[in-house]
Amino acid sequence: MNRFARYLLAFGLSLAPLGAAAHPHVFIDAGLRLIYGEGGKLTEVEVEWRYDAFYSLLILEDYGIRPAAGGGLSASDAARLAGFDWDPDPAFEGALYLTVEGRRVGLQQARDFGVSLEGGQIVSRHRRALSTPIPGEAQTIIQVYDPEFYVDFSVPQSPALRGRDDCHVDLRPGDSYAAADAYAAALREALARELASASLLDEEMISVNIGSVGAPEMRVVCGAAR
Amino acid sequence: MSPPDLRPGQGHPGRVLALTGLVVALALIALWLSGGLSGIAAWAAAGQRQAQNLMAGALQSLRAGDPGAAATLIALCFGYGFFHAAGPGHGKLVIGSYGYGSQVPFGRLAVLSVSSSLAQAGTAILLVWIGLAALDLGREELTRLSERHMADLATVLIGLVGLWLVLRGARMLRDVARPGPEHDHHRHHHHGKACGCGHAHGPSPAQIAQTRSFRDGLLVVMAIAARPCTGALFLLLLTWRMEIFAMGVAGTVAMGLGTASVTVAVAGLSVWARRGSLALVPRTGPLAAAARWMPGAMQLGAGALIALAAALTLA
Repeated sequence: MNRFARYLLAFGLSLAPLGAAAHPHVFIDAGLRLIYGEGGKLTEVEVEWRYDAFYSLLILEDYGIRPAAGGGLSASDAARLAGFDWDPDPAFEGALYLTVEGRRVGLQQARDFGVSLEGGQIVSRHRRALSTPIPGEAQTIIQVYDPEFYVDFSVPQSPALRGRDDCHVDLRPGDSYAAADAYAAALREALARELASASLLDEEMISVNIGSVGAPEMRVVCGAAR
Repeated sequence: MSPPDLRPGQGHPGRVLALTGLVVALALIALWLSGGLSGIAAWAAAGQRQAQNLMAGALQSLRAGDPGAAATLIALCFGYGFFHAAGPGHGKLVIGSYGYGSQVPFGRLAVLSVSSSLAQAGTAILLVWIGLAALDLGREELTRLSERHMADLATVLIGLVGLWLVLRGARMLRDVARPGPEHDHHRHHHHGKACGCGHAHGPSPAQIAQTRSFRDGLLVVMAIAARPCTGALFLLLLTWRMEIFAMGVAGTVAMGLGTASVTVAVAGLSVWARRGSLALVPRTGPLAAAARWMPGAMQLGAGALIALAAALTLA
């Protein structure tokens, strides 16, 4: 591939994010609670998703549910809605990612679904058990994001803790400015590599997980390791 | 709002203004590639989020029987469309590249921008209406149809716009390289690399500027309209279920106009930058001959860019 073609390809790559679903259409405020069990290990995460009012209204109308203004859901409506936002396809990761020492921690399917309506906003809840509990002393990185960025997740508050009170949580709220910055940085790197005469097509393509970059991130560590 | 009429051949001040357009466009592209525009994208997402929440309130007021909420909803939809378009999007890519690469005048491109946005709104309205009234599709089926299949169709059409521009650019370059029958009378004299004889040989920029076709416009509008905005689908689905579908249709048109307010600006900038590029070429001297190559090369380049972006999106 000659130099001109490579430049063209690099420039074309810079346009790629224009095409895909780069707009979020649903906005969710996520809340987490970390459950520590036997031996002080992190065993489970309770997840709460608070939807924006517009999407909430869409879901309610779609299910034919019309609560009184500012009112809550009846028990039967809540039961109908429970789990409405969970896709049992194993490829769906539930927008929750745990990492310990650089390795992804397996999470089980969600259970214990619950839905309520608060001030016109749907709040859905579920629990995810860890496939293997993690010692609380290991630093755990928790991220909340939709890889397709169809949903824009925010984490307004630090996760609550149950079962231990000696943990330190460092919440880095999402940085929506970061995604584009990261893409530009990756592109610059690729161009630099390119000029160092490596072929872009032979190397791995520029890949930035736009959803994860700048996603809200929490670092949790308990006990003496603090 | 229309940018000053700047033809490269209109003397010094016009030329400086035209060059400014090129500089502004290049600065914006550089800012974007370096991540400098991400602040605007974040601001647009925040604006969209706010508009979305307020729209829910307006819809509920409408249902509660407050007629004043109709105007509020329309205004919010316009704002939603504006914020939505302020982020990255396929419409701006197509309009911008077409405006830069082809010889389309600003007025025509502005009409095209507005038509595409309105056609996009029309696609959403038709999709929801046919999907719900005739096919009895559910919300998820409808959004999936739009997000997956129609988005792919739109990308293919965008790729076609790109290839069309490439083809025409290549044809223009070929015509410049090979003297056509209309300048047979020049055949006898020899053109060196630095001919500088000061009279026109290929088709003049003015002649090339006449190249415009209805097909172009149709393809551009279709490429943009094929992919309806998911926000508009949400609004239409919602108002259908609330039995105020007419409000949803009005709101969707308002969203389209809000989107058009941004694409018209992009259209203006692309035409301005194109004139700046043409003004780069000196009108006399040895480099003046480049003026004959510029339009074809610009068209080919802009087309290649869109085609490449479309191919990478599909890949």
